[in-house]
Order: sequence, then structure tokens, then C-alpha cells
Amino acid sequence: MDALAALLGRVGVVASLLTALLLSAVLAANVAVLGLGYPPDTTLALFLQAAPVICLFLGNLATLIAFYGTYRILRRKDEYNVRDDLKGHAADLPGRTQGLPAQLARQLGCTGMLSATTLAASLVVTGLTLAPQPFRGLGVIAVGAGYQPARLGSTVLPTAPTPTPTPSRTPTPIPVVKFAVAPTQYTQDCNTRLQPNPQTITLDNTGSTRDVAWSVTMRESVGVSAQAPWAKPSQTQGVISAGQTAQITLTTGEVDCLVVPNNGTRDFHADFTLAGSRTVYTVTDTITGQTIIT
Amino acid sequence: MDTVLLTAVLVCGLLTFVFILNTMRKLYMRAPRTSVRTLLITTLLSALTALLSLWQLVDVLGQFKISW
Repeated sequence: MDALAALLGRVGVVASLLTALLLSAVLAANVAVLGLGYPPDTTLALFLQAAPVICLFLGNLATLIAFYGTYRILRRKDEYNVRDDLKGHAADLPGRTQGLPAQLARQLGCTGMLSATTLAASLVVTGLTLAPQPFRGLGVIAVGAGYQPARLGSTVLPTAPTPTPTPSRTPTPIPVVKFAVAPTQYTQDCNTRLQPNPQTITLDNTGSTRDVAWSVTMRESVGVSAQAPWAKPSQTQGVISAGQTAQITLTTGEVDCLVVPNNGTRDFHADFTLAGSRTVYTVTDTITGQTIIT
Repeated sequence: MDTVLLTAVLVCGLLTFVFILNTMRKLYMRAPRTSVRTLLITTLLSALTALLSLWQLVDVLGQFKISW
């Protein structure tokens, strides 16, 4: 039983100290929310509202234990002899109770005063935190889905319910590709050494809303082994940003004139294709062969 | 209901505190016979306040949708 009493004594001291610590934290949180304007979230609101009640419970527990200790001393379960006290009263000898305050102080220390103080502080803080408006001066008030700091004497105006925004149908822009090459046809003449050579080709992506990757191939081959392309492009592939244009050149080899019939013409083609598309944009070069007068 | 419970907690707590002060005063005025009776009342009041504060705590947690 004495061991239980000792354990209870320790629990009482811990409860008192815990109450004091929690109360300090609650007051600090209230200063942050009410004084410094820190926005209370759900966790902070829960702490502000629940912690004072926990303090009140712990303060009461500490008080219970402190007074149980006092009761044990008075009932001679501890060192103080209350019977001697009563005999002293009966014999009108109040001097025999002189030892009680000293004994209480020695056995309980400041536990009684500490628990009483924390209990009183807990009562005040709990009352101010949980009281209905306009008496609530600490903690927070639930307004709608959020919380706002409570202020003594102020009434909370409920905020108008926020209308639920109806999701607007935002059309997803469809990528537009409007690509063009210019010129699509030009002529060269073997009688004038194929001038102008090279020929400039403009790749037009101004009508598109996305970048395009292009490549070019020469459809016809010339040369001794028919392996060489009929024209040499300045670049065979590239990327053009949306809304931009690019220029390349096609340089025609004079060897082309060997495969163009005299007094005739022949078409040569450069095929431009875009990545992901099967459309072919063709540039045709009509070469006029040598004029032979017979 | 909330206001009634809070009022009960505060009244019990206040009574407990008043009895604590009274008990202390009697103890330190060296009147142990009276002290035992007030001591018991104080202890009972303290236990009642502790129970009510537990109830209040459950009520506050319930407002935050926390339950067991």
C-alpha cells in the first residue's frame, strides 16, 4: 500500500508538471494564432481546443493524488499522528498540532500548491477556450470548413457558403499542322548551265500550332551507277517550330543534263515528308535538255 | 448540451478549487478534525471534475470527428 502511495505521489508530480507544460504550450499557441495571426489548421485547432481539457483532467488528477497524500498523513497512515492532535485539542493544547504544516511540507513538498495552481489555470483556460460566443477568448471557432481565431466579445459571422465551382469544359486544343513548301515547281535549263543554281526552297510552318520534324529525299538518281541523287539539299532533315519558316537549298548537278533528252525536258522531284505523317510535299524541278539543231 | 456540460465542468472545478483553498487554510490553521471532512469533499469534487473533464474531452474530440 505504501508502495502504491509512493507511486501515486510520483504520478501526481508528473501530472502537475505535464499540466504546466501543456498549459504553457496552449498559451504559446494562442499567442501565435491570436496575436501573431498564424493561420490555424485542423491539427492546431484540435490542440488548441482539446489540450485545455486534458490539462483540466490532469490538474484534477494531481489534486486528487495530493489530497490523498494529505489524507494519509492526517489518518496516521504516514508519519503524522492525528490522534495526538485530537488529544491535544481535547486537552486544549493546540501546541501539539504545531508539527502538521511542517510535516505536510516535508511529505508533499509543493505538490499541493502546484496542483491547485495548475487546476485553477486549467479552469480559466478551458472556460475561455470552450465557452460559447461572445465569451470565447481563446482557441478557435469552426467556420465553414476552416477555423478562425476566437476573440472575446466578438460574434462570428458565418461565412457565406462558397459556391461549388462547376467544372467548365475547357476544350483541349487540337494540334493543327498546316505545312507547305514553296515553290512547288521551278525550271532549270541545261543551255544556261542550270542557272539559277542552287535553288532556294522555303518550308512554311506558320499555319501550324505545333513543331514539325521534316526530312527530304531525292526521288531520282543520276550518275554512272545511278546512285547519286539528282540534287544535293543543304540539309536532309530538321525541325521547324510552330509559326516559323525555314529555308534550304537544292543544288542541281550538271550531270543531270546527261540524263535529260536533248530538245526535251525531264522532271526531277524532291519529296518532303513530316514525322508522323504520310503526306508528301513534292518540289518538281523541270530541266530542259540541250538544244540540238539538226 | 455542450454548454450544460461545460458549465458543469467549470462549476465543479471552481468548487474543487474553493474547497482546496478551504482545506489548505484549515490544515495550516491546525484544525485537523475539520480538515478530514473537507478533505474528503475536496477529493470527491476533484474526482467528479476529473470525470466531467474526461467527458468534455470526448465531446471536443467528437467535434473533430475523432472517436473510438
